[in-house]
Amino acid sequence: MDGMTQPQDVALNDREPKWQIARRSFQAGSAYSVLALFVFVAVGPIIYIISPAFRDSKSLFSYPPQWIPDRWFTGNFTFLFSETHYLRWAVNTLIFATAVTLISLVIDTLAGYAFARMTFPGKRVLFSLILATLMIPMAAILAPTYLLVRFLDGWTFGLIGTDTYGGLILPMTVSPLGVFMMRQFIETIPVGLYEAARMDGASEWRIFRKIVLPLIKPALVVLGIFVFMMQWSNFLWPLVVTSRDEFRVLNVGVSTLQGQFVTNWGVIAAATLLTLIPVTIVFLFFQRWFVQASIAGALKE
Amino acid sequence: MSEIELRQLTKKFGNYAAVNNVSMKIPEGEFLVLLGPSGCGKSTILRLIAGLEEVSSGEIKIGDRIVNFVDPVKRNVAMVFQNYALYPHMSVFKNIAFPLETAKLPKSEVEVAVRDAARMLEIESLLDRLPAQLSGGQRQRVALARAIVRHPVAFLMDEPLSNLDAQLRQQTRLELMSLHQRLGITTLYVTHDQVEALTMGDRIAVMREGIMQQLGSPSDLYRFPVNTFVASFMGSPPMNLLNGTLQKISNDWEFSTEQIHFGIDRNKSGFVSSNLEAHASRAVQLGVRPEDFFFVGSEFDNAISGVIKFVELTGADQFISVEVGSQIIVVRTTPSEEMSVGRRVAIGTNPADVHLFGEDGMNLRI
Amino acid sequence: MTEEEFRRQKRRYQARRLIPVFGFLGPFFLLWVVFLAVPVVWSVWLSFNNGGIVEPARFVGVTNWTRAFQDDELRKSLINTVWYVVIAITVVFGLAIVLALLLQRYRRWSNFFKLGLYIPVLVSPIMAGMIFFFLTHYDMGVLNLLLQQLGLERMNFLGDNPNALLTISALEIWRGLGFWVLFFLAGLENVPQDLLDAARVDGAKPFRRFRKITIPVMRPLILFALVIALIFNFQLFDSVQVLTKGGPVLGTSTVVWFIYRRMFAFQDSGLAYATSVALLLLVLCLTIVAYGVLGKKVRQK
Repeated sequence: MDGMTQPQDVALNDREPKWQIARRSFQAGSAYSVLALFVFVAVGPIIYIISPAFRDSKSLFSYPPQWIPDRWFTGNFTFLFSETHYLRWAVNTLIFATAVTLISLVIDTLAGYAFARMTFPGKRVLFSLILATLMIPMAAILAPTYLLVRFLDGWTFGLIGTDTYGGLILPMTVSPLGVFMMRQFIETIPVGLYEAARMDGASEWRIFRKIVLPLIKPALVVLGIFVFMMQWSNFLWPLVVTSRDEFRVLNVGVSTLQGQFVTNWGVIAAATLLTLIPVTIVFLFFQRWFVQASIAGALKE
Repeated sequence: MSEIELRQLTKKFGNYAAVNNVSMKIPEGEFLVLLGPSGCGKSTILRLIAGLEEVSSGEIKIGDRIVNFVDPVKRNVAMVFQNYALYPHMSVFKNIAFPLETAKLPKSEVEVAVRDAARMLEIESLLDRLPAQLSGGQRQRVALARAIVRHPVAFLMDEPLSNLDAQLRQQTRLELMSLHQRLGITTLYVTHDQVEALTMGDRIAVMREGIMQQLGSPSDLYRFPVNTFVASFMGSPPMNLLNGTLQKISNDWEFSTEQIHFGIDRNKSGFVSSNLEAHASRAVQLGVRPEDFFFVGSEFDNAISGVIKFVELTGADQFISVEVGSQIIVVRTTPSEEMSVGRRVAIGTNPADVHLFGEDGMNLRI
Repeated sequence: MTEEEFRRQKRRYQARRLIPVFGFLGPFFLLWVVFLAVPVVWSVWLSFNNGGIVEPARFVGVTNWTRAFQDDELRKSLINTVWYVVIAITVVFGLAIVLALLLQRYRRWSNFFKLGLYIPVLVSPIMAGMIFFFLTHYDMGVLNLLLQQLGLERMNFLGDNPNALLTISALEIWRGLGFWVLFFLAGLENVPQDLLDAARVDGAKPFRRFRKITIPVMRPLILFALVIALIFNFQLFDSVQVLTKGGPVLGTSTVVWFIYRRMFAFQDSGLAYATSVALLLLVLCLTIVAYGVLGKKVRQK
């Protein structure tokens, strides 16, 4: 149980006693079973809601339960698209997550470069200050941020305010973690490159565009995915800042299905399933980056 | 015209002066070597001239312009870094073209200039490759090409050969020298290797802890070192430095230890008499290079006698370590001389090759 | 050049070099000040006020704070949150380390296992909540059906205390396990193999090797993870909103739930403000601890 040694690496002698082989196979077997069990528990519930999504309310409560519906009922989905703003919510969520990701990436990389390679008075203090705010919970500044956004409504011609895209997106773009990550990554670029570019006459902006950006592409992807993931599952802020149905994101919208259609579980199942699918597909596509992004979020300090 | 001048140049990091009041004039076209151990400030001087570090006090002039606060590129100097600093994601062509593209030169001109530089350094065939695919020597040529392509008024080279293996180093040394002959561009060359300095430099500036020790031609530094630091830095193996006292006996001078009574001929050695007077009966160091010692017979007048302790054969030479009292004198001789450990010998030298250094390390010839 | 001229030129030069800094730092800094720094300060100010959201704010001095110490609902929320945090972290860390050890030793199909375990992490708490609704539904949920099949009594997972809190804990454990498995796996792989080999040669058995080498080496990492998990889990909200809305009878009310509810309450938002600031202080303290542990880790290297 220490690590690195495979069961088959441990060669005791040329002829292993049979009971040892058996014991090791048993151990391996149990280990894999345990792992498989946990994977089943992990993925099971998700598979579980496929069925209710395709059944109507009556059949849901029938007993004995039909696990595989004999009629694949699509009424839930049609209801979802016609009677609720589901599509609108999906679009909103996409716009929201993408916008936050793009804006974050831009400002974080620029700031990261400044902290990594530029010199200016108060650099250390400023950076420490920003780091200190790294883990500030949304809940702790929920009220003031809400009030702030409401206040800005008058001052920005409605661009930033409650129930606006601006108000939804902008507060979420501030990510000290992103700046930290970008700084770390940019610092790994050898100073010599930077100096050579300066000797060659490049301005800071040119160095940033032509030398730094191409070399930090992996970090950009990782950070981008991380931010996107975070915003896709963001609930508290969108819940607070939007009250009109047309501006809700998926998380908030689907949760409202509960109150309105208490008895229509099929629709809820359909909504949940539908929301999970794109993320799962994207995940399977970008697996490597996702995992890296997650660990990066916590481990990369 | 494009002479480089440093006037009382000083660079401080906190309270520590990495470059301390250095002044020198470098005429156009000269190959000047900045030589010294690590931390002596030679690289800092280079970076100050380049514009990568800010001057604490003093002036840097290029031509008749004071360039203290001018951006590196506007000084029109090009730097070759120790680790080449090639842009890893760009092809060789793009690497060399980068300074020109930054200057917004039209594409056709850029193309011509890059190819010219590549041709001069014989790397035309490599233009499409990435730096990672090149050997150390090739990368260095690309770095040079990138420097050349700007037609700078000076090259600043920061230990460019130290990352190459010995054989390649020698070959590249010769190529650098021929390049300098061809282009005639002022070059400031930083190294800690005194062999490089002696073979390549028109003049050498020896640095120690931020202070310039001596500035002169290789032969000047080698034959007339101004202090013990320069004396022992140049030459391999280094100059012998023996501890003893300077005695005045009637009108004659003598360097003496318990075992040695070595006569000093003031005239033939070129010592300033006031210096000798000032150091009478004081501790001094006698300096003679290994190749300036030779073995003598008993009839030789001013000889030092000792016992052979080590014999080192290096193919072309023999280095005999002779023990005299508690000190060792290294003598260079040809391999043909039969030497064996334990043999008692006598060594002598020409007065012209004798140096005396005071307690402060300064040469009494000055 | 005179001394004066020197200083003048130096100042101009340094000013010139400072200009690009604004361009690079500016955007991030602007957003950071507006949407993070200002809300933090405002939050502190608000804690001495009441109202402000549905009605104009009134200054009330420290009454919010004094009331906070006496408020039963807040106390209950705090206790619930602490219970949840302890349970969730203990279970998740325990399981994650075990699974990580298994994964490290038994390598076959490891990609499949890792991916499978990780999928729940992608599910937003809201969606997970919906899924768990189905799972635990009194009438049609598969868990209760299973219990019935086994001849046991059905359980009211969400309508009873302490079931509700445990169910929510289970949900979060289900969601978070995959991430922590990968996290600890990465940590385990960073334990220098030569140390383990040396111990093995010295005759130490696997469990002893684990105890004496792996754990001490991983200690800073585990501590750090603990702090991060604490900060994160203390903010439990989404699942509560979706599954139980704080019930039954405040059985699942958490600190952030409390803040959210009270924020929009007439005449009572003052308590929410004070709680927000308290949360802020807590997180700041934990952040300092986290950085302290990090410093030790760096020094350990």
